[in-house]
Amino acid sequence: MIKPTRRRVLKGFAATAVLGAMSSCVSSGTGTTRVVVIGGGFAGLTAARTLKALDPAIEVTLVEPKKQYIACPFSNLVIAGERDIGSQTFSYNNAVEQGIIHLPLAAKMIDPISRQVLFENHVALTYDRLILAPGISLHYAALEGYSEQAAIKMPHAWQAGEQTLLLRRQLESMPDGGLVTIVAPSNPYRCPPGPYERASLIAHYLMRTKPKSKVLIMDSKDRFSKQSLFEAAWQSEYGEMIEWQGLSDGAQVVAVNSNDMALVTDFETIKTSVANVIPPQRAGKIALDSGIADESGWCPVDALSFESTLAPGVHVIGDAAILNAMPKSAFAANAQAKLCAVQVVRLLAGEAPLKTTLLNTCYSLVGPRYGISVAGAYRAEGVRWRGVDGAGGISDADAPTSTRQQEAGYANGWFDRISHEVFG
Amino acid sequence: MSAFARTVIYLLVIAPSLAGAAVTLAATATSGEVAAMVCSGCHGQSNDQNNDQNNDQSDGQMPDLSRYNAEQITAMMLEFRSDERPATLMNRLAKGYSEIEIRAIAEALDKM
Repeated sequence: MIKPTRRRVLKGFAATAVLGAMSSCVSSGTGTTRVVVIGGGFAGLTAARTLKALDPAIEVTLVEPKKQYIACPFSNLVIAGERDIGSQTFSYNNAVEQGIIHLPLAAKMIDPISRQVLFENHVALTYDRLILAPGISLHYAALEGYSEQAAIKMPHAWQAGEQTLLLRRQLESMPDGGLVTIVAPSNPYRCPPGPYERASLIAHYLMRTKPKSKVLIMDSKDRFSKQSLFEAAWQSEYGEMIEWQGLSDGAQVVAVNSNDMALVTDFETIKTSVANVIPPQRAGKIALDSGIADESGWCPVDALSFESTLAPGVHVIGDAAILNAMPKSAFAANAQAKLCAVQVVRLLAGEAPLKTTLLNTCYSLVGPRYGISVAGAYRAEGVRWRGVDGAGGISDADAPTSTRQQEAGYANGWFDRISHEVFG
Repeated sequence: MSAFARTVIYLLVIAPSLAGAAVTLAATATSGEVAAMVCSGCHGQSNDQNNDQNNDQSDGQMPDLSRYNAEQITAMMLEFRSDERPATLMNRLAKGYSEIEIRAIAEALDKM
């Protein structure tokens, strides 16, 4: 942690030597409540915008180095050539118009003792409450041979953007008859059904362009989200094109060699034309660096308030937080963010956190017109978010084709609505 | 001038300066109101112009809830909960709420 004496403290961007003559036009802001939100994804931006809508008098600062956000949901369609990445790309302009301050810088560290976010050049930003939504970081070191460099040859495409396009280009240049291998991590990780939706949509692309090719999923676990629905749909839509092998099949990848395009298990080495290596994950780097994640790599929180059990005054939401039964999905992040904004306002006003029920809905596309879903309802019980008994579950296994088409339509509707709400 | 200094100056000029107001509004939010905020993740917000363009479920848009009053939403949710009303997904979600919660959510949606 940086020593206080080395910091030049900015009080609401006011008195600092950097600003010099500018300081006279700055309100001292005495009495202003300041909430800083780190991370401009579905969790962070929803929290910032909800907070500002609930109380415009709160000064809400969004710390997010990116000028544009590229969404992960629906990025598997980009990989399959069914969607332009521009349809996934959003700016923060509307949030700024709403009165949120967008600080396009990377925070280095959080100091929960002095309630400051620290940046380069010893600059600091003070907060009354901090909402931390840094998403995931890829844990390269947990997979031998994998690295940021290796990910250029073996893309993860698990943070949307250039990696998404890289995997797309590799699929385009692969010859017919090639092998596409998806390496799927053990739980927990961002978007539990994501690897299986991706396998489906890659098969959809290959069936039409390179029908002699195969998709192999090498999984570090024995069960996965919506498994029965995916497996039935793979049979009916893609025949033998997709093969899944799990932990008990010896398919856990323990090392990769990007120069040889080789995936290594305890039993064999597999050469592949395209390797989509989705590595183990942890909370975003700032959470790890600031001691807000525990030994699991994720952030423990008080269930109802989302307040960190390691850093008072810091509320963690979205993929980075340990929220038990609630999955790491954009819908859940959006729902958590709304409740978190309410809880932060209540805590600032000296009120106790409010009890309520949260939801998750997660659609997966097996094909552009074949949708399946998983849903859940959750309540905070003590330190845990638990699924409500008798609620939730996956789409009906025996549903007719028309239902699959309808759910594919709803998947599109969901993405339109949530992206419009968060970024529009 | 550093990028940070430029950013700070930009923010100082552009960003509104809001001082002193008490934090009260959301402190009075009810559990039903907060639960109702989650619905817009799929159904959109009632002031969302996108909702006017497409209210047809067959085209893949979940229905705009501002078209219904509290009684209608309560009735539909209770029917979803008991599987009397067919649905792709809402029956699974409706089972997550008690009848009291459903009424509170419906009333909150009506007011939104």
